[in-house]
Amino acid sequence: MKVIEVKNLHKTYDEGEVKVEAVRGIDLTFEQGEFAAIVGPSGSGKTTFLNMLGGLDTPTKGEIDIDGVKVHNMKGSALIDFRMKNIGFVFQAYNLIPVLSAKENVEFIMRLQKMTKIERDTRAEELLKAVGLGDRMNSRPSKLSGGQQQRVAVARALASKPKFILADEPTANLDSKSTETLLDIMEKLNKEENITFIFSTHDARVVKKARRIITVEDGKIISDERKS
Amino acid sequence: MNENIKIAWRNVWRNKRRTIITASSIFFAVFFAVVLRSFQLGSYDHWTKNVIRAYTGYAQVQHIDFWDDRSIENTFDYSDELHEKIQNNEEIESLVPRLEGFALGSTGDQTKGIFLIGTDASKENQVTKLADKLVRYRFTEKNIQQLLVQDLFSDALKEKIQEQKGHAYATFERIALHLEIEEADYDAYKETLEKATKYEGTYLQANDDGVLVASALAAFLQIGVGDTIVLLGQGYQGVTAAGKYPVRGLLHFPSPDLNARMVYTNLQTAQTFFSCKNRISSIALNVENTDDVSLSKTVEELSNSIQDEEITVKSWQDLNKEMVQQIQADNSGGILMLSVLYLIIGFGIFGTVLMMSTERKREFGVMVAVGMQKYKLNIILMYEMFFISSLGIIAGILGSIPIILYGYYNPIRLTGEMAAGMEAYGIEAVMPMMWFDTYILNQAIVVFALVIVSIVMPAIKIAQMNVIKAIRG
Repeated sequence: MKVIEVKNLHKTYDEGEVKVEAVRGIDLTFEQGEFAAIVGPSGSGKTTFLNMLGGLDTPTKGEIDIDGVKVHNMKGSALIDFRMKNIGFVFQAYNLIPVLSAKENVEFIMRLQKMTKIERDTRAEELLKAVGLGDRMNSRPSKLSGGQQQRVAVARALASKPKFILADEPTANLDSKSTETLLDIMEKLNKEENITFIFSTHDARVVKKARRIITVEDGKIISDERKS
Repeated sequence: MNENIKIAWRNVWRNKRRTIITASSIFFAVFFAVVLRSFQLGSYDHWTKNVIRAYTGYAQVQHIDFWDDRSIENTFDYSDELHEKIQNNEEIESLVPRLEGFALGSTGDQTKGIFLIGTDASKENQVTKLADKLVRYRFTEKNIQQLLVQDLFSDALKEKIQEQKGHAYATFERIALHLEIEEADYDAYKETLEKATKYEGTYLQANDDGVLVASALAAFLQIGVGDTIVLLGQGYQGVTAAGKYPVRGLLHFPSPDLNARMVYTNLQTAQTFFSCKNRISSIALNVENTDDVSLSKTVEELSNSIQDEEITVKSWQDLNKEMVQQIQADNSGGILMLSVLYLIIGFGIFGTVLMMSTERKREFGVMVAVGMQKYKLNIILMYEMFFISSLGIIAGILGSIPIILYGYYNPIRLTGEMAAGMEAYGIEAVMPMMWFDTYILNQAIVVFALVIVSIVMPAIKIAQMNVIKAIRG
């Protein structure tokens, strides 16, 4: 089942007299349950592409269709609302809310979605157990290691039951052991619960795990390989 | 607990030092503002009550020309109908009809212009507490000599006692004020001074044909209780007014002007003297609710019910325009000073809000990215500043309570030139503090208003925030 359809996507940054074309005509489709990595050198446009997929940035030209919704036409609070209901984010620097515990961070989006307390409690506990943090639910981010914080971030991204999860360089700040643990968890969630993951990465370990590798260079897709 | 409140409360304590510094600056601003306002408003209240109690009452019913020309011709008929119209107003607590006019007062070879007030003595006491001004202590040549031979007094104090010749007082506190005796030393001197200077006078009784004479006037005319004063003047419609009246007591007014010319008698005695039976020049009124809004409503209601071209109703503000203007000018100065204080505090609050929002730019970006509406971030910021400012406000108000209580029950007694200046206006030379009132709430409102103003710029910044740039930091 098609989750994302991107047609002729362009993004040009107007920086005074210089115009920078970060994305130049990308056409791409993502199916439900994909475990895809977008790779490419720095400045190739992969993060810009990912930001547009997540509705954090708007395309200069082209279309983004997520589950039948034309995201490229959305703006303001409607777009924020759409993100909350449909997209999960995992950031490079974890970006948890420092004053909330691990469980409260996971609950945060569910509160925005106005879920009941019982629903929130149950799901937050389930997700934290799933990422191996059942015993650290009440710890604040400052009391967790980088790997643990990133696992909380994955649980937070899953909390809203999104259509897909976008992860921008999720392992960039992690050591090998934490990276391996995190990738195993994400792979398990992908396989067992058919959750779509889309990464932008430089990390060979992520590339190795990914079942689809999209290579971007100078704002264009130069290869799109699927592993059997 | 609401998630936004929880996040805000925890954020407040994320940087404890900053929160404490900001709350402390608000504490000091509110503390000083409340104490200063309490002093200022307490003084105004004291001044106005002095003027109201000294003479005017809260309002007066007058002949329309009386206030500009206090002639005996500017009087009106005090009918039962008029009395009832006034009395029927629910706000009226008590009323005192007065007949006032100028005359000459004379004893032996001494003669002086006096101002005679004929009044209902018992009602007058209800409105202006006239009986409290009755002289109970008087310094004469004889009792000063008695005091000077006592070892109890220092040379400096003896010098001051000598300066008191001819002075009269209604209370020991006023003697102490003029002799510059500290409150702590009252017990040491009180008995001796009271015993030596005690003066027996009586307040006017009903149908009494005697008079009460202001103490400085009595000293000039060289009369005292039991003596007779001759009054001579012009009565209603040119009739000659003359009569002699026994002195029942002396009155001491703080104002030297009043102290040099006031003579009080019963209303009927004055009406007979001025040959204007049943006529009066004014009716002083005491009202139930004394606040400005209620009083002006009462004045309007009375004007509407009396409906007489000859008669007007004036509030104490109308009767004391000069003092009201002085208070307004002084009050404006006080408010200006507080404005400067709040302006400084306002910049402090603004700095804190700006820091709190700028340093969490990335956090805000993430919150918006995952689905939080931007206005909710402003609500969180608002809660945070509400918590910090509430801490400062509550601490400031709590800190000022003991000072207000102390200042209210133990007003500062002024001495020297300042005291003399106030007494010249007929105002007791003390500075009481104002009891708890809306002025305290006003300080809280001002701080919250500053918070709201301070939050505008960060709120605009949040509204315009670019999520990607914010997340990148």
